[in-house]
Amino acid sequence: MSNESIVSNASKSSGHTQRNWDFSKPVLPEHIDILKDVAIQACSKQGIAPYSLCVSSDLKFNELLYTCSTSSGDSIYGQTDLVRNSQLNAPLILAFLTYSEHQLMDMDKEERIALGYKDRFGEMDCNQTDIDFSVGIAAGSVAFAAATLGYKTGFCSCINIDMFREKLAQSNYSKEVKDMWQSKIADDFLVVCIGNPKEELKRGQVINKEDKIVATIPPVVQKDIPIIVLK
Amino acid sequence: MSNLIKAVKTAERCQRNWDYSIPIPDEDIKTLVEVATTMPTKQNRKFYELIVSSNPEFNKICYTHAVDPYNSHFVNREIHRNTQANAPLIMMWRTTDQTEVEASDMFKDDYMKNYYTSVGVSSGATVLTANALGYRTGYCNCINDDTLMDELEEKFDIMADNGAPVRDSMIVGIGMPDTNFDRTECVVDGKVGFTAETIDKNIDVTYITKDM
Repeated sequence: MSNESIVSNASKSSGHTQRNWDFSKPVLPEHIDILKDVAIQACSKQGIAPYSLCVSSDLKFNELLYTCSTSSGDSIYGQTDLVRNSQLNAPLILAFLTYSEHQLMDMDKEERIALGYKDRFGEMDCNQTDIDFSVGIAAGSVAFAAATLGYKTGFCSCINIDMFREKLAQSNYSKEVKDMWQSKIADDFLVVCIGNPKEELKRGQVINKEDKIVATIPPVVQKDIPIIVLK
Repeated sequence: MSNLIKAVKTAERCQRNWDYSIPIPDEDIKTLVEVATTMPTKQNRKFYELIVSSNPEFNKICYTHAVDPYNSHFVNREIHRNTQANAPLIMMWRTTDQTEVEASDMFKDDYMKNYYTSVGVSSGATVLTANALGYRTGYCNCINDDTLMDELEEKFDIMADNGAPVRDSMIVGIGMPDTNFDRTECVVDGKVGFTAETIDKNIDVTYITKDM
């Protein structure tokens, strides 16, 4: 297959959410390293560090996050509600964590700069535009790179952070992990979910712990991006 | 895979001069456009539109408006720092009409946040692809959108007011570098007008593995 075909297929693959995973085929450690490098080397304005990164291949942690996704609660296990966000229950997640816009606006400029939100000129501090662009660039790069490596991907930002923090506080995870997610830097986030799919299933099918299909999320309408070409 | 690892490293850095004697083949442009338009957006909605130009006059106009009028760097300067926008190929993501999107959005999502994140996702994959194909790239988000869109409408018949809630755009310059210069040297018509700094960032990373 040509380079062009590989990248084209990668974008098409990462363009659609994968909602079931084959946990018998984890993401290889060397691939996790590559994806981490993609995440931390993606462009940001003036080299600002606009986010913190959490890389988890711990299935229990990822499942904990999943059970706090907004529309699910515990419903997947009771099989009562439609659960959209099963992409979170993935073999690997990379979570991009940032302060919320509200918090940044309420801080003094000096506070923001002390947190690393400053630009080269020293006269302007990072705003929400720069943060959202940067998180998007990094997350898009990671999803694309993962697809190039042969994995499927999904995005999710629908997590009840208060519920998650409560559950995390009661868990045995390290202080470092708890502190990261309990701090204000985790008030806003975007998660990229990565793994190998259940090959016998369609990508929109949601399964429970017994591998029973409990929901099928229909594909959304293909977007039609207007394009103007000038030569 | 080696291409990908190399591409990650070069994609991080902004290329500020270009070799215009090496055009980008149509098949590569097609690949880049395909990547840019097939990356995910929330609920696969249309948050942006794309302008793709290998027209030198168009690209030069974009460069002249890639300025921040409130930053002293750009005052009375013949060649400014954002020469990445004067590339052989530029791809511009801009805001677009949200009438249809908002009519079908049960979540009532904030448009600008989704626009910024979606443009980031799309452009991030595009930049990685361009670098994997052997090109160099540079982002520019410092654009006077009002004056730029007015001039593009006047000279290229591109609607300045396309129904978008606000005017906003982001440009990625793509091409082969001018090997006579360092990546950071801002060059127009063979003349260096500024040498930009290069900055390393340090992202905090926490790992969670089953061995913890």
